[in-house]
Amino acid sequence: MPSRRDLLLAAPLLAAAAGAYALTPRNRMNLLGSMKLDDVVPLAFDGWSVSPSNAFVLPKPREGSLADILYDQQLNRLYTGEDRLPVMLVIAYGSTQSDLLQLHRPETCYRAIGFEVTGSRPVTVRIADAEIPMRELTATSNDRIEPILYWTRLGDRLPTSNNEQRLMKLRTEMDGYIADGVLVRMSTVADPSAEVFDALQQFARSLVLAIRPDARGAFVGRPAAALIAESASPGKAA
Amino acid sequence: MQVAAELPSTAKGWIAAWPLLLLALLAVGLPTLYSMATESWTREEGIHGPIVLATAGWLIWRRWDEIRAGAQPGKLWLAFAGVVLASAVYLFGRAYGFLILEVGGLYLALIAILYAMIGGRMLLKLWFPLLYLGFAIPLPGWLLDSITLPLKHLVSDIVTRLMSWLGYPIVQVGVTLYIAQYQLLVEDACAGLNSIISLTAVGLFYIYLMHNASWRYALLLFLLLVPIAIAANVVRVIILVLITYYLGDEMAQGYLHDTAGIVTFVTALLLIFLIDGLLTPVRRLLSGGSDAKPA
Repeated sequence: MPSRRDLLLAAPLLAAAAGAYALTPRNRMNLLGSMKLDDVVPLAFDGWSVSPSNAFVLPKPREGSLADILYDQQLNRLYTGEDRLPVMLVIAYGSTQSDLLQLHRPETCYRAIGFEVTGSRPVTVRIADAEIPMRELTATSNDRIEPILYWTRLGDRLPTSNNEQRLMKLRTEMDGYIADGVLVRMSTVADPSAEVFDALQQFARSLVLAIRPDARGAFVGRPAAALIAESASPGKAA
Repeated sequence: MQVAAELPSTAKGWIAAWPLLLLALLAVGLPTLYSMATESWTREEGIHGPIVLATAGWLIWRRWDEIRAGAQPGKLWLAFAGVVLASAVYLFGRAYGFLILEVGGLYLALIAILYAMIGGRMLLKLWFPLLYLGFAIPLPGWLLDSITLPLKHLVSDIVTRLMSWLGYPIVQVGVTLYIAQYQLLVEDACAGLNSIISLTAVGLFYIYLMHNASWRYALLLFLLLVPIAIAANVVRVIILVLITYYLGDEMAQGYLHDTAGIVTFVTALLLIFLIDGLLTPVRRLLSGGSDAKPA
């Protein structure tokens, strides 16, 4: 016969074990599915097209490095065009977001390699009928100034800060899903001005609209993708 | 007697006295051990986890006879409240993937249970092993990053100054270290600082084993642990830069993968031994002549 002490100390722990098992999310929300970033993101759209470059601020791709562990797929491209601002596009996709493995925001990533980050502020970019929360910032090193525009998606949500990102991860998990995540970062080398940021926003707009409708959810989440599909479907071919 | 029933001396006795509790600890502990082993222990910043668990267990075990003899069961309601709180933290952490809360909850539960069995007075005698056991709680990457980032830049700064003073063609430009025609990312070069928690844990263990008697001296050594970890990383990065300079980038990458971690660890341990040896007069002084008397 178990004693009263035994019962009292064991009961909460047994309840916690059972409760954790019941509440643990098991459904994977994998919006990119088996698609490849390289196939889904068009090589040319709206006057921009890919040209070769190695001028990216990126972690060195090395086996076992942080980027290697964090992201399943990564895409780095330089888009240029006549009368267009050259834009460096980086997309990083991670199929599982956990407490130890999560998207690194450019504020952290640029600082980690010696850039000074200034003027970080949230902005809302309207794409067709959807409003996508993004963030603008400027990274400065000794010999280089990069205005940056980026957004992140976690499940169907679009967090604009680290805290929001953790909170939204938690919400998604409370809904019973293990979310995937994506970081879309656009930058250029120029002095930060309103025009430059406008051009980056225009690039973001064109990019999202140029991605085929069934894959858009993987970049902006399904609710925003649905809004865009509703309003942008008639005649928006590049 | 009462005490004998609380703290049996054989495995059979334990199963007879605390059947439900043992079952519950297995139910919460095994999944968490698995999570720690797969998510944390395989990474550089969590590699000390199993070592800390084993050595903390050993530290408690070696004093168990003394603890058994003085055990006075703690207040049940207090222990119960502790276990309820710990279970809630565990449940939240386990269900929603916060390993730090999951392991933290389990840690709290163990302390509450230990309190119920041996009482507050004996629990205090175990303050060091229990505090040390806390190092087994894995910190999430974002927290560790914010701790180590300034240190990484400090290390790279020290290395750059030291080596350019010695005449090597080395410059640090924001993101990168340039050595002759090669370049290294500061982030990669100084990744050894991820092991700063491991180094601190091992250092604490050494201090406790060697200088149980004088807590003042132990505190002094403890305060020296962070500078020691930084120095060990400076050595690691200097070796990395020298290999890059004389043997090329490929050899340096091999070094980063295979031996850099061990070099940091061994350097840190040697530094602790060295400093401990050099400080022997200070230790005598702080211990008050011959040996410290227990407070």
